[in-house]
Amino acid sequence: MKKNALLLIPILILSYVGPYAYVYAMTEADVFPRVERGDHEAIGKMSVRVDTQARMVISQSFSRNVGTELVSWTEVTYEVLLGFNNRIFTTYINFPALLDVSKITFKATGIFNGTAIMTCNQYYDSLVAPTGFEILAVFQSILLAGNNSFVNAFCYGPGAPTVDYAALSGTLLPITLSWEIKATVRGERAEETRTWSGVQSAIIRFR
Amino acid sequence: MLSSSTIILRILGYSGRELAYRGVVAGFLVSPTYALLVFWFTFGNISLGTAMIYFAMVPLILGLLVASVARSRGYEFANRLGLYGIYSLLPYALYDWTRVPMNYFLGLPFWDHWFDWGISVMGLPVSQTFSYTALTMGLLTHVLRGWSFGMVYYTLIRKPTLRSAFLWAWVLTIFYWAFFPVYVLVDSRPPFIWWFVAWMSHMALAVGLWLAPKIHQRFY
Repeated sequence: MKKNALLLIPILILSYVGPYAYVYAMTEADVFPRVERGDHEAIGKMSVRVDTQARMVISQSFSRNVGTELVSWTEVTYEVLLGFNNRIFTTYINFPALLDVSKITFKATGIFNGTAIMTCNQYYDSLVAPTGFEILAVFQSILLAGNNSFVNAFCYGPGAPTVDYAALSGTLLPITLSWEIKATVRGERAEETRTWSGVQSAIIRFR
Repeated sequence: MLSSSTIILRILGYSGRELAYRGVVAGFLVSPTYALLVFWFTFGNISLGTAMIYFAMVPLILGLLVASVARSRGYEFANRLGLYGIYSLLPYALYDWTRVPMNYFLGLPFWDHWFDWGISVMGLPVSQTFSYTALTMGLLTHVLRGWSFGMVYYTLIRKPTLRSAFLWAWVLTIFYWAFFPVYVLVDSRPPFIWWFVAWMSHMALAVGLWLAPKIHQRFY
């Protein structure tokens, strides 16, 4: 071995591992904290909305024998639109991304004249999100479509005689809707379970 | 009048048969890039982990087999593959070194897609993208690719020169410019500085290709 060649060894080792030591150090000190900060900010900005209009989907009549007596009743299915807004956020490299929303539960009660006429209890696995391996055009279309995502929640309640739509005049029934949405929202790294709730005036469109 | 193939052979300085052996071995050694291309062309439907096995590991084994045949036929380059492997550690490290100040001073990220490669290699859920496991696995595929570019150069070139190293670096730069904006989502709208850094880091790789054998000679 030539003179001073041994000195080269630590320099070479430093050359080989230096950039990667930098990558790990910066990831720990800068990237992850910045990603998490951005995620929490984006998750905080996301909002939900429950439509003020519920739609009657179907009214079904049932009957069964209880002893010698024939018992009849009606069950009504309603549809309520839920919105998840402002899902687009900017990542730590200033690239747009979509908040991942999953494990969504929606619970609501619709009250008319002091009577609960519809209850909702629905679960959704997740909202549409890009994988990150799409080409830009596809990615952008998923992103724009997903910024304000909507899902239909189905609610159920008694029909006649509790609520006899046939006897009501008009096509709208004012109700008070109290609701709660719970979902797991995830950015690039941080994840939060968020709960939104509200009480709002709504109407049921039944014709 | 000399044919173009004869001119190439004269420049490279070896026979047609030797060139064929070197070309085939080099074609197999560059296989970590084939794996990445398969991953890209299928938009991630073939995971990078799977692609690395079938399109990188298998060709690398085949490359070693062809190299052993070349060795038995007396072609010197096949005896030097181990040495080339050591030389090839430096160029990609210099490539990454040039990106460090660009990140520190200008905030230009250069390891963001390593996370995506990492989750694909490991089959991790998207929620695990920003994890050290993903980063490490993505880094390893990056390093393997960079190392293989060095191996290809030393296998094809009898005597490393700055001119041939820069020529190879330009080929890699053009490959980078052409594919990354199409298949790496976060690089899809690159600013001017992106093109510059891509070029500059490949030129650093060229310096590494030229420098590594010279450094190694100092040990003997």
